[in-house]
Amino acid sequence: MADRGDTHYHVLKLNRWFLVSSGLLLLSVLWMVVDDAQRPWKDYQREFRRIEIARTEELLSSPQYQEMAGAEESLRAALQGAVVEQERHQADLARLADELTAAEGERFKVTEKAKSLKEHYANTLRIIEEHRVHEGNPSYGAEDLAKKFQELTDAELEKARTERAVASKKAEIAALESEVAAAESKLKAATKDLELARKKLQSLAPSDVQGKVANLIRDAPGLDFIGPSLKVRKVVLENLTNNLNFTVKSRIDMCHTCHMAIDREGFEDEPQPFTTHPDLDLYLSAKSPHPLNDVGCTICHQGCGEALDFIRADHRPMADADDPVGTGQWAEWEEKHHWHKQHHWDWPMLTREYIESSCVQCHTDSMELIAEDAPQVSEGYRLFERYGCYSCHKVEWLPTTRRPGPSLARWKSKLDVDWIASWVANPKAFRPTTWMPQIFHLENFAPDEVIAVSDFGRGREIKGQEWNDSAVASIVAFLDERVPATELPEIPLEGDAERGREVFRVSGCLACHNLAPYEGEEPRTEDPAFERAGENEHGPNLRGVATKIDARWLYSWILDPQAYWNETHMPDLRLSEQDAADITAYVMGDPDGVFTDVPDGWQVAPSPSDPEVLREQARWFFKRLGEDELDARFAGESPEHRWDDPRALMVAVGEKFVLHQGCYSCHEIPGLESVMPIGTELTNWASKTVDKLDWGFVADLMQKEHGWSLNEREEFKHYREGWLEQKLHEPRSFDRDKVKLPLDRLRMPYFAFTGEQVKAISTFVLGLRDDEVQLARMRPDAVQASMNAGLQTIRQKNCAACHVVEPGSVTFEHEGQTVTVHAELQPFSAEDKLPPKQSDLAGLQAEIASWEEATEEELEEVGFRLLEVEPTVGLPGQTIFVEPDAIVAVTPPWGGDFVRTVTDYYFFGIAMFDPEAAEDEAIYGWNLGEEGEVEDVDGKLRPYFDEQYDKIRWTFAPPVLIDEGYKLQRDWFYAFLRDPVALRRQMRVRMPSFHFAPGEAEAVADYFAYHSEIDWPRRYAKTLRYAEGMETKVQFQDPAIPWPEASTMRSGGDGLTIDELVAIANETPAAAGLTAAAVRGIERGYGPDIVASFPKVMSLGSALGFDLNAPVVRGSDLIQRRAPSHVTARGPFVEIGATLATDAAAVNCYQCHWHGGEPPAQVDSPLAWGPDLALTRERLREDWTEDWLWNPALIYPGTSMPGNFQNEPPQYQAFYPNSTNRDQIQSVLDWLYNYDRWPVATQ
Amino acid sequence: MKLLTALGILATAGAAVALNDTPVIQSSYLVHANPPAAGATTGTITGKILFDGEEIPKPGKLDNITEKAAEGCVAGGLPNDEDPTLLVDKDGGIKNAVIEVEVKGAELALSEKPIVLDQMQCRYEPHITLVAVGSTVEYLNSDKVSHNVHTFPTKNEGFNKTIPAGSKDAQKLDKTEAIQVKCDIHPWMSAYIYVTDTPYATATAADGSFSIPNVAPGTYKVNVWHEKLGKAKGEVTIAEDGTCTALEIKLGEKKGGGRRR
Repeated sequence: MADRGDTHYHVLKLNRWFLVSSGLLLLSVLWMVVDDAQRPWKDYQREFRRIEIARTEELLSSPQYQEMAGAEESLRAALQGAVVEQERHQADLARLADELTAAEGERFKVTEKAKSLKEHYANTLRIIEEHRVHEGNPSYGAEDLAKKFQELTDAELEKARTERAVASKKAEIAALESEVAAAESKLKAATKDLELARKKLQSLAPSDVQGKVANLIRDAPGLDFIGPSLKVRKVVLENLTNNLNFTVKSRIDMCHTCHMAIDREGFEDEPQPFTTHPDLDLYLSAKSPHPLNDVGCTICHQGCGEALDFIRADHRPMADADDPVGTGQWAEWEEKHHWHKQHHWDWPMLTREYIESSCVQCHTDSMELIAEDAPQVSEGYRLFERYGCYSCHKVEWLPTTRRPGPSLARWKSKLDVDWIASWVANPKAFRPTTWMPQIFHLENFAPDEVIAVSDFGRGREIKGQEWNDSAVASIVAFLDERVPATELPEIPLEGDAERGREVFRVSGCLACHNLAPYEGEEPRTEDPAFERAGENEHGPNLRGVATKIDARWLYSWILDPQAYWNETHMPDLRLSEQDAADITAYVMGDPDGVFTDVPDGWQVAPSPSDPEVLREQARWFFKRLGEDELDARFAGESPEHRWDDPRALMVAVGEKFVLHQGCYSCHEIPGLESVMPIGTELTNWASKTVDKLDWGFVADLMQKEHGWSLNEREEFKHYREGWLEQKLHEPRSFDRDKVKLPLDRLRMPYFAFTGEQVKAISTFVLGLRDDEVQLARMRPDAVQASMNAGLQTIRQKNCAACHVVEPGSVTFEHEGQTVTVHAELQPFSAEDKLPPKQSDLAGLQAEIASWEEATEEELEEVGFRLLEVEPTVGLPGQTIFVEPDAIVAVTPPWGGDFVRTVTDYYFFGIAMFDPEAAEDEAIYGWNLGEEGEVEDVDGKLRPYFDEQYDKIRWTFAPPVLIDEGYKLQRDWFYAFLRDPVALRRQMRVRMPSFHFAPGEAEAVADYFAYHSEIDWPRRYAKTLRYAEGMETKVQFQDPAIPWPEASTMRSGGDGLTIDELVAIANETPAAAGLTAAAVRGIERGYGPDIVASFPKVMSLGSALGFDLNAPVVRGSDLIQRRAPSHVTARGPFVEIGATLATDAAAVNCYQCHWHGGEPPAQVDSPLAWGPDLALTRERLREDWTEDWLWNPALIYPGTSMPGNFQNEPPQYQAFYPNSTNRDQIQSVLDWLYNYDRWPVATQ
Repeated sequence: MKLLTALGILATAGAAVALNDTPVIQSSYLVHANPPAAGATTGTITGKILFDGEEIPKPGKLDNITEKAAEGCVAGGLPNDEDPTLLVDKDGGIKNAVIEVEVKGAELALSEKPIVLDQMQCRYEPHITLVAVGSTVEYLNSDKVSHNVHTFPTKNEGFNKTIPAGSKDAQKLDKTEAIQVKCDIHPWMSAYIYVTDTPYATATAADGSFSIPNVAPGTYKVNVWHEKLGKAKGEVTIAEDGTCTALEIKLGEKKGGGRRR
């Protein structure tokens, strides 16, 4: 087109430009299409499809599926045969079909007729009735009505006949077609899985041309917007928002676009990104508590969930033990993915090391409940609490508020001034394991560093050493001034150190304290007191305390710890004054050289102080007063501040130092009770962006020092955890190479955490975030909340030091399967008095090795005793023997370390070394008795070294609390915890009187009750499986024999396998559909399976006549046997129960049991004593007591309580004629629960 | 009700008499399954187990028998308070030690006679019972008071049941070991069941002597066990003519209250 000249533009030129630009546009569209087709995630999806195809093909060619395919052929042939056979009857079928049509037609006619007759009759009836009423003629129309009724009846009969005819025709047809139908359904059932796999393969990789083409087109570049098979997968989390630079938006996670199998089982061994998540029970699966569709990925893992690109997702190289900073993977990724850190994303993905930190953000109200699944962060939480981090660094939601350090309000009755000075200067020099951190003499006040120059820069230089010495001296002076002197009364009794050694041992001190030598020293004895066992570090290590404390103070402290420090964890053991005096004599006299043993280099001396340094410190602290005022005070010219007196000056400076260092945060100091803590609040610490952290020059220094590469430095510098770890390891290191005024320097003290502790605490602190994620916070229900509180109290009161709270377990190969059972290890041989200590597999192997070395024999079998019913294995109390190699794993019980301290004492006495003797010499047992006898509660000495371990353990050691909630009445448990009564009078170990905060005792009792309730389905399933496969001596007449009774009749058989149980279930209508996986889930206590499938297991149980007493019913523990109606009805039987229980020729309970405060006949054998029977009615749940009477060994394997009612034929007929064992137990129970109402002559 | 009870007691007394049908109490129930052929030369191993120590221990007394605790045990008196756990005569002979001779191929048959461990006057009778592995042991209570039989095995199944006055119960023992039997109701009562797999075993008499007949010529290892004094080993040779020098094996005192192992 030519230029007409009437436009301002040149058309031809424009057209050219247009051509070029549309060409460019087309190109860029093409480029876009091509680029889009090549996006990395599509490659991953294609790769995954290949994997799936290969797997499906493999599955189809597996023997199982081949067999299925083989069966399919024969089933198809059978179907074909049936079809052919049916075709032979084609004529019959056709005829029948016609006849059916005819019959149906007739039925329709007849039915319609009947319908209309019915209506007609009803109408007529109404009209006639009306007539009758109006006309007063009751017989009007009777004939007509009768006729109509007859017609209707005939029609109904006719209708019924035609229906029968139709039905019979249908039946005839069905009979002819039945073969085909049966063959079809058989084929379908047998090839269900096969068909599924084939369909899947067909959809993934169509074998026909059409399908192939269709798939090509679907994913073709440019056309793949219609219905592609490769597509972005995402979850949109409406409630869980992301805060992106002041914009709050829904969180969208697309991670599973590449991580295709993350929520699918069976891809565990595939390489990333196709690996299955390591714990589907807990995460991602639909039935888990964290389903993918509700929580997504980035809430836990962080990183950018909307990125579909390896780098932009902010993946993190992983660190492991061999590669602590993850440089190996770092380099690998740089090469493979051109990986680099995303500098503009504030939430880099967490490495596996710190992943547990994410638990905190949602679980602030349930920290105790997640301990098992998140051990590292829970440990961090515990350390945070134990070391009292919260007292300087506020964390809003933290439930603990007590001051972690001892009160200083009365310190003068305990310590002397010089000791305090040395302690403040460096607490770890006296007790390396103390939680008190080191505050002075740290790197940013290095001894030779010039901290200040005196006299306003005109005087001499003051070095770090002097500065610190003066600070310590002034703090001590301040404390001395502030706290009034307290004089404790003299100890009123003469203490006996020998007896004190024993009281110290048996009353329970060693449950929380230990005497372990400090690092580097090996204990010279095998005595448990010298081992650090975790629980026995709840209180301080007592080595060296005799050099620290005052004897009168110790005596009063033992008798009443709260009087000195009202927030102490130390409970009141209710010891007698004599016991307290004896312990005091033992500790202060220290015959064993333990309590005066202090680390090398520990010295008690006052801290030096120089008036010039003091004055300089005062100048810094009181800078605002101005030079003149300060000089006036120094010269003694200010009447209220006579600082010319060095003591007055020290006190003034000391107070400033106490305030500056925040001593009052941990310790109660009179006058400073309500001063605010000095540390940064940590409630939202981890929401701080990395650039807000002061890194100082540490990264550079590190690089210089360690020669780290840039990457390593990046790793250190750009992640919060790097900063945290450094802070916890070397709290003052961010001051390095900086010039700072003395009072501006970092103040965080040095805790000497180990690497593991630092990791744990950092993990916890990294979880202190204030995201919108908090919307997903777990809000515990009433049960969970009280279990959480209960667990916290159990931990804080250290219940598990003495009591086994949860049993340990052994995992072993058994009949081709790996089985995990609750069990305790048994002695390796009859000559070994005690079982080996149960820790983990490595621990067991070490025990075996040392046994083999000592005996020069090879250990052929390891025995362990079952602690609960284990189908196909055995009953509680049975000992299972397996070869050492067959044991796959061992876990320790939770709690009960102190049991060994007790049993060791009764068997071997106190193992001590003679402080005078040379190394490796003179290890001997020390007891009160010359032969090794032990003092009993009645003050008599008795030998126990030849006794059986089980007897000592069950009689003298603290009781186990496994399933305690099933055993105890909750109200009694509350009361007992608050005010313990003497229950097992033979025990010298004391159940302490704890000072519970309101609600704490209740939470502990509730915890056990709820725990038993939650645990019950697991027990039920296992017991059912055992009971149904068990052989019994007698034929049951009664179908519903409760479990413990049935257990006494066992003659063989150890229960059904899961598959056998499931087979039975599927023949039982009420339980049909129960799967092996569900049973397995229930038996390992997996909540979702319990919710979904336990009702079926219960239905199966009741269908089979199985009965197991249920656990605690929430609410009350009403004792049925005390109801007036029950008592009236059972009156005579209560009498019988009383005689049966107490007669010497029958059960003879009083021989061993205390009763109403009266001692048993065995008053001279405390080893035989049983708990007071009078307490039964208020203490024990009826169900438990009944189970207990049936078969005590089922509950406490190894107990001395015999099975009293297991005789066949039933005994005691003289006392209760024609009675069964069950009758006898019922009458004894009636008596026990009405004990107070039936005084018995023998009482 | 009282009348009923009284009648009942009479009935039980009758039953107890019937039960007590003179049980044969013996210490060893070991029966040869394959004794050496009649006429073959065999020897008898004899010997003594002696105490090894400076001072021969005096017979001990059970000091926890009190009138109240032992009520009903013995009409008008207290049970015998001799401590059966360590009995050494004036010449040092140890009673109730067990000797086992390791003879390869020797097999045990199960005893046809019932094996009875009796509880009589609140003591076990006998103190030590030798039984073949696989035997069933009856726990009989001939007393007028109830006992409980509480066994402390390492390998066999545990047993802890009340045996009411005048009744009995039984248990099969499938593994070889020495099992302590105790009564928690009368804590001084203690006995051992020694489950063995060889017929060549016996327990010593009051003077520590023993004799094991019918042993084919050869050299054998001998194991000695005593509940308090532990284990010892020895060797014995029976000459081709069946003679054999008397064995003397010494058992030392274990130190009470020592550390484990």
